[in-house]
Amino acid sequence: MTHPIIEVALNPDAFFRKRADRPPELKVPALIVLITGIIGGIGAYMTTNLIAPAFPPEVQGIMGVAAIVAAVGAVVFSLIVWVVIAVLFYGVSSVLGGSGDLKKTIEATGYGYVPEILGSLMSLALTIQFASSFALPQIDFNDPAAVTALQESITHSPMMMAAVLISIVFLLWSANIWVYGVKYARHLSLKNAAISVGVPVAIYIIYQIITLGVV
Amino acid sequence: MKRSLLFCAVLLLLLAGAVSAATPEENAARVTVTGFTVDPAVLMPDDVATVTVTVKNTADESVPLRSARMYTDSNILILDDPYRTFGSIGPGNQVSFTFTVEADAGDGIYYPIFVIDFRDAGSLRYPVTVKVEETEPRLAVVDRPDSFTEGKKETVRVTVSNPRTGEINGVTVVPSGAGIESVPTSAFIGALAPDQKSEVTFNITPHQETDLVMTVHYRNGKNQRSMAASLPIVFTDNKKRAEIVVSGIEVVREGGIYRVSGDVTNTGLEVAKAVVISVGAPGVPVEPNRLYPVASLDPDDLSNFEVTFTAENTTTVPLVIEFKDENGNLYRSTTEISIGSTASSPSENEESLPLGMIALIVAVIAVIAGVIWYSWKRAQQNEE
Repeated sequence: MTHPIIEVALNPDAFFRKRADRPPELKVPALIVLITGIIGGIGAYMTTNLIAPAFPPEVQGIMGVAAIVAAVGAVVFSLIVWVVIAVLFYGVSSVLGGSGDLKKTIEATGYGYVPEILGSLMSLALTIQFASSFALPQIDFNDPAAVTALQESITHSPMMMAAVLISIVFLLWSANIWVYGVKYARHLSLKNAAISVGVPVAIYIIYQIITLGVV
Repeated sequence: MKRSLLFCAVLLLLLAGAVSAATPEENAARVTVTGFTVDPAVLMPDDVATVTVTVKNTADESVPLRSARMYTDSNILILDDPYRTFGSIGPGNQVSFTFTVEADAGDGIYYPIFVIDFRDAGSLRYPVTVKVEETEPRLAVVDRPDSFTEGKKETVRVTVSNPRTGEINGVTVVPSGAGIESVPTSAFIGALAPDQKSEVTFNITPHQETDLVMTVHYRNGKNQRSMAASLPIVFTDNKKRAEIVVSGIEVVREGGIYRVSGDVTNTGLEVAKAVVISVGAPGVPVEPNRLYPVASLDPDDLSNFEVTFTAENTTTVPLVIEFKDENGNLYRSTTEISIGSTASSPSENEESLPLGMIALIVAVIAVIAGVIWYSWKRAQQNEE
């Protein structure tokens, strides 16, 4: 008997096939998304503390509060993004003739976050590595050149680029799970399910690559 | 008693008769010249002066004068003749006669003659001494820089001395010349007694090669005079000036910011003040060290510096060194520094990923690709 979490990761077709006729249940998917959100929140907290030295001394006093706000915001944001992604899948699949409950799509999307737990952990490890090896100079935020240089120094650092690259790879893994989830949640062919998932995911990946400045 | 009184009265009458009996010649003989003054005491050629002769009547009676005049040959010109007629000088009175004269001669001592014509008894002749000296005040440059540099303020000290035997007044020194900026614009010395000197200092900033003319304006009596001396200003390198040499350059890139550190040494012989290090275009200075102020560097002093900047599409940026000398003159020099051949794009010049990280990413990609392939295979099996 394979554990459901392992099964959703390695054999999503079987996992969602079994659950196709069951009523939607959001507790476990929400828990999975929440775990990724918490890990992301820890990363946001660390990133905020990472850029704190770049701010003037009078601003650094509130950077601790800002870090907590960023962490909580990341958790809440992950839950919102979960629903938004599910709605996107629902919308695109509707265009392709999909039918089925939105809640079922949300449930399937939530299970697709399982690889994101691993991916978030790896990104967090890279962020910790980056934070320990990088000392930011204090900059004048009224100077556009300095702000641009700071942004480049963070986003173009090898560790941060590696973190983004790994998150894309894990996103592809999640997308693989979402394809099967949408297939059964929206009663679609594998091809149409792949399109329903592939379009939003592809757009997001292209956006990430552009943000990195690779193209 | 009556005889005694009568004798005294007769004696007094005899005495009075004896006094009143003095002749005009005798009275005129008691009119004497008590002194004379010449202002200025020593004339220069063409100077105008006043000669005042003081005459005293030591007689007991007024002495009538016809005129008082001054005569000369040709060296000293008498410019006026105000005493063509004159009344008389009372007994015991003193009278001054003032004449205006002009020196129409070179060096020498001249003797114009003062003549009083008595109305009833001949005349009195008295030679007056008038000195004429051609010697002018002297101006000497006491201190000047070894060399002048365009736009650099330098100190020039001059002395004005008076080798004449008479005092000069209102002495003022005025520097001038094309492209010359002087502080102060003039210096007032005042009176200079014989064999006295005075020193004045000017801060001269030349903006072109020229002759620095020092003009001394002065008065000899009421005669306004001037004399000038020139000092050629030729621009040459100041061999003593401070020279800032940059060494030990290290360029480190942190993120998108370059951090350049090194040493600056003053290899000149003068102090370099307010030394400031920065980078010029195409470098863009950024915090925290847009500029790096170095304390004053004495000769042979060394200090370190660090500046931060960003730069794109270039392999070198100019390091700009600015400093001032003790007079506040600003000097600027640049030194090109290399920031590496990979500086064309910030995204390309990051340090490369560690091998372990690359291996990890490859492994993750491989594992996930394997997982996805496995999931597809299982899905096919599930279909079957």
